[in-house]
Amino acid sequence: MKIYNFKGGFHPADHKELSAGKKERELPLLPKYTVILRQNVGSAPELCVKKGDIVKKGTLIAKEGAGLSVPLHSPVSGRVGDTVLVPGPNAGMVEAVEILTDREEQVWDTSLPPIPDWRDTPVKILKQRILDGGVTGMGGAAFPTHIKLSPPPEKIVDTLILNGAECEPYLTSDDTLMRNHARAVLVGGAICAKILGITEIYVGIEENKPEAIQSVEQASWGIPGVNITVKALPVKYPQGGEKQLIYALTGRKVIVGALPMDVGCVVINVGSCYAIWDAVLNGHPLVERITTVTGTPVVDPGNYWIPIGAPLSAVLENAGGVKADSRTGKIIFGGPMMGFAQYSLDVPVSKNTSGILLLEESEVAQFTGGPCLSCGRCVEHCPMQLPVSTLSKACKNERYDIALQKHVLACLECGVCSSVCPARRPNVQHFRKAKTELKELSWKEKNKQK
Amino acid sequence: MTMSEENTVPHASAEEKQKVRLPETKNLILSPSPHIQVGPGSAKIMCQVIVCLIPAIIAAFVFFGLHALRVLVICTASCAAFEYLWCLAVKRKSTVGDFSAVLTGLLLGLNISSLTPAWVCIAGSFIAIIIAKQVYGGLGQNPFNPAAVGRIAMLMGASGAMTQYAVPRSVFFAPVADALTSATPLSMAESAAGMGKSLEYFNSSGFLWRAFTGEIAGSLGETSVLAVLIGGIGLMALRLIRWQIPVSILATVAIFVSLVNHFSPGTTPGVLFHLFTGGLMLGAFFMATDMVTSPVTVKGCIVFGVGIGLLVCVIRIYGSYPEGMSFAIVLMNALVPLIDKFCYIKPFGHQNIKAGRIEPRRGEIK
Ligand code: SF4
Ligand code: SF4
Repeated sequence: MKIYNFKGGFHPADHKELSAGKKERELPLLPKYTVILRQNVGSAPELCVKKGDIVKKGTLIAKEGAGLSVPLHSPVSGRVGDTVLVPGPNAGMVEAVEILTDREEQVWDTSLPPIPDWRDTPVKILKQRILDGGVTGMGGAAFPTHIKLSPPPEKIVDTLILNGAECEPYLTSDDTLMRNHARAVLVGGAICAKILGITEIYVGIEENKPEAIQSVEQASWGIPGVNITVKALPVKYPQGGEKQLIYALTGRKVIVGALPMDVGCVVINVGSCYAIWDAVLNGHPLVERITTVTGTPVVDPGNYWIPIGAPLSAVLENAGGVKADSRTGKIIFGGPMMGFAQYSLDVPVSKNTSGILLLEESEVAQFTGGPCLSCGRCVEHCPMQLPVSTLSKACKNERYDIALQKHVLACLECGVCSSVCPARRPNVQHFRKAKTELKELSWKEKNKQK
Repeated sequence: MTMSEENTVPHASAEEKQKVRLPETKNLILSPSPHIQVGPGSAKIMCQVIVCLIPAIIAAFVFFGLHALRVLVICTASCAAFEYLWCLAVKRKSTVGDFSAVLTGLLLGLNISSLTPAWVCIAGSFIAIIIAKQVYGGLGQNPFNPAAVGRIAMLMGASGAMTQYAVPRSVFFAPVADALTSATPLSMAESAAGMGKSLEYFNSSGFLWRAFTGEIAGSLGETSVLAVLIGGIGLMALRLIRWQIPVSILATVAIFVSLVNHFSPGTTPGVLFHLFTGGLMLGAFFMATDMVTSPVTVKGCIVFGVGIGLLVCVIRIYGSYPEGMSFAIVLMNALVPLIDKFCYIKPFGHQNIKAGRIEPRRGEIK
């Protein structure tokens, strides 16, 4: 099969060696977990327990809300505490529910029975289970997975793509999953394929993870009924972007404003596949996830299984804290290219926290916004092939009409153009602002017509 | 967590917690993604280009002695000084630290003869920095290459002083009065061709070798092709320039000159003569590739390079000036916005969008 190489992109020093290949570790039981209610894209689930209720690990604590939503489960056995406001991973204070543990025995809730014979189970039940398991996208945006698996009938889907590219520097959580749990990931993928009614599965993995490729390839032999192709992809960011990944594997281009479904593809992160496997075969909802804790200041970087709701401070403590001579300049949830900077150590881990990255003060990029040299590096490296330098000037001057004509809405906000800019121009910020403004304008326009 | 394993690990003990150092939140920087950057910054890029100019500077010193140094120092110092004074005058933070003025000064110095009087150097620097760069808004805003504009102004305003070229000599410390002057090979060739004389001499391997190493009369940095090439390769290796520009310029010149030689022999000397003499090499590697005044797309760079190559040949062979590199660069600089517009790259998954004006939102100001 041919690999299509998208134009642009770059490969920064990825520092994956800090955490790659290490044994997975678990966090000891903490006295308190604060589970953020709204962890998914869409509406928040509704709390269905009261203070003082006894919950087990995996007990439903919030039912899915109206529209786009998934339910939420307790990460541990314990008692329900107060509903509090905690600093959220995307800045601002968010509502969260406390789960207190008093050294209770940790047992799983058994209200979701395992479905070992998923091959003979109706699609509807499987889909319901994925919803009940609270599975969301586990890379960047926490998009509810059951919605992804329910394309409207007029869209013909023929390919399922498992995203194991993990192109963000530093992160190795997907790599670890694929190395150690390849079979679970592929079975999760096969369940998705069954739900979609297709047999073609592509697994895209960047070439710099040979162990993961090997173990996924080996595991792919034992899974009947589906046709799994593992493909090594060129190492460059953003290879794991949906549009870039689809292009790399199938040569289909998702046009600006369209969805992967429009070209017959569904892309699912390997982390979500693992969660699907866990929910279907073991009856365990998504209550903990594997997260890379890494960065030069961290004493003991590695991959940790972290229950959702564990505060950042506890996670760092278990990773040995920071080195004595380090000056941590930034704490990031997610990767260095698209993650969010944190200001507090009380932020709890949520379903989409794929990494916790600490950067030394000297490593942090400062976008001072010097004059554009027209050097063309941004244009050369933009994965969407946008005329970044012109666009960024247009956006800065609020000429959103020019920006629209030059396709600012196609921008992935991947951050490449800011990272490579010698003048350290905050190009992405200009585009984010322009996109928000344009959306607002088109919304107003629509309202006017009504 | 794997399967149904039960988690019965006790809480971490209190003493253990105390040993662990946690980051201090008051030092945390909050800014949106991306959080890392790669590659050198603007000032470092300028410094790297300056380092790549060192072979040419050394060659200038070897062939033209202390006068070369005098011209270079005057140009560089006055360019930096004008930049500083302008920032002082318009009450802006000094931009001397980005080294672009130093680079302009060096390029300007390398573009003129070692016999140029000091006042001409200073006037040229004034034009390059103030007129060609700062009045447009400083670094990044200037449509024309400052060094090329400075050189053209000097050539036109003080053509007598500017066309005195010293004969290169190995004796370093000759006073100005003693220096032998001579015309550049380009103007000699042009007058020879104009009088219908044989151009054999200019195509001889002995002459070409001297032109390659730099032992001919001419501007400081232009004579030694070897030194400029070393620097140029450095520029390409460090990815400071887009290699498409020099390559397309040189290729265009080579093709054009060989066509002229083929269809009307005797009009002009051969390809190697044109590549090795005058400011072609210096211009192709160091001046035309100036990031600010060249197109951003690769396609644009090729169009730009071909344009410069054609113009330089036309000026050299058919125009009234023996040398046309600065003119060609400045003329093509003027076309850069147009080139960028026509060499627009289509975005990934391109789709046309209807044009229409959207009013910018400007807060309270109406
Ligand atoms: S990378 Fe920066 S300096 Fe270079 S063209 Fe793009 S915006 Fe301008
Ligand atoms: S952030 Fe947008 S404009 Fe910048 S490189 Fe990524 S896709 Fe291109």
